Amino acid sequence: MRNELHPRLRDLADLRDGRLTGTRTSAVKEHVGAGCDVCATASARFESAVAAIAEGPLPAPPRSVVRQAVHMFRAKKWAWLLEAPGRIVASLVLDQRMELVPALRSSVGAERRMLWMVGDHELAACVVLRGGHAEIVGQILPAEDDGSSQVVGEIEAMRNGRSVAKIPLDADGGFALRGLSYGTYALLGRVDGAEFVVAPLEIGDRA
Amino acid sequence: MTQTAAKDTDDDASLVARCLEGDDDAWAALVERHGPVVWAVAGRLGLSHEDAADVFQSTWRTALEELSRVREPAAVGGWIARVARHQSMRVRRGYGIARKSWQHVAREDVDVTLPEEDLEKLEMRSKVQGALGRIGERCADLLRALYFEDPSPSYQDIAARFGMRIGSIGPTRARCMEKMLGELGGDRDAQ
Ligand SMILES: [Zn+2]
Repeated sequence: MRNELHPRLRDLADLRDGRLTGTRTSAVKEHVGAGCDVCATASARFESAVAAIAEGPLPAPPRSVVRQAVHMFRAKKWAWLLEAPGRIVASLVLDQRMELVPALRSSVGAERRMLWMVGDHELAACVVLRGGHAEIVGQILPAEDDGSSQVVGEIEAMRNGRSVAKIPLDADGGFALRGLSYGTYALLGRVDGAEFVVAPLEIGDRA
Repeated sequence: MTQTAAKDTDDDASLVARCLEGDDDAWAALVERHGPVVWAVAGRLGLSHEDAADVFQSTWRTALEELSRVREPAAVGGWIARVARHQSMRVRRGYGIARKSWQHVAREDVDVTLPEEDLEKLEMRSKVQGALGRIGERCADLLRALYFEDPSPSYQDIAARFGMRIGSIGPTRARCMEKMLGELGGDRDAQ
């Protein structure tokens, strides 16, 4: 049966709702009555949508149950970042946060120095809080640097799976990621052809 | 790079893709969207509130573990519903064992199943609610007035409420329903 011979959805809907009137009525009834598969399928889809609307929304699960399921994501998402094939996972060597007294930890302008090993490289960074925002200023260099190393690469701050800042390393392996709001980050980067990840990195006055 | 937070209107495939990039909001949107089906499946299979809550968590834990291996991300809702049914049936088998051991579980609490057809109806209810959220407020309100409100308002009432002529209710409804079926069709074709 050719397409243009099928009644419009509007006519099928009117037929269903008992509102089909006028000159097309008999033609539509005859067509549908003859057992057109296409129209039967269209009507069935219409009918199942109407039935689902009529039943209304499904009851929402309790909020506490939903919240628990939402929270289970946190642990796993770091695993995805860390398990990516070929990616070096940076290992934390030093975190000055551990040594700071709590009062200093939350004060504006306080610096937190950190050091990671990234394969054959060292990543040294300083996290500075500036009234609600933070900056990470750092440098990646070969661990056996004799002062003549030329570093090529880039670094990217990711939050909630989204890139919030991405910059190339300068020739000395230096970088500054600025204007980061407080939260949990992953630093993704490439240095001298190797991909690496630092995660999770908590930044903020509660960190 | 600028990306916006996951929204209710994002399709399942893009939510899954964002989850795999570590996007908390996308995961939360996925749980909000398909959580009611998971909860309804556990309820239909007669699980206690506590067991339903356990099934809810185990279903989402499975989803999390398997997300990167889901073959049809656009059809992730149907897949999650089936995981929920599987997890619920496991708990039900426990009820059966408890009945044999302790006899204090009623017979009717053991022989419950959720046939594919019923599962699809639950999924459809969930999809239709999602689609209503994407076809525009006026269309959604009209379809709800026509097919959800009980008692169903007369065409005169609808005409007055929506500020339209009675003669244009039919065509408008058809256009809204076409939009709705278009939204649902995208889901269906993906399976
Ligand atoms: Zn036809």
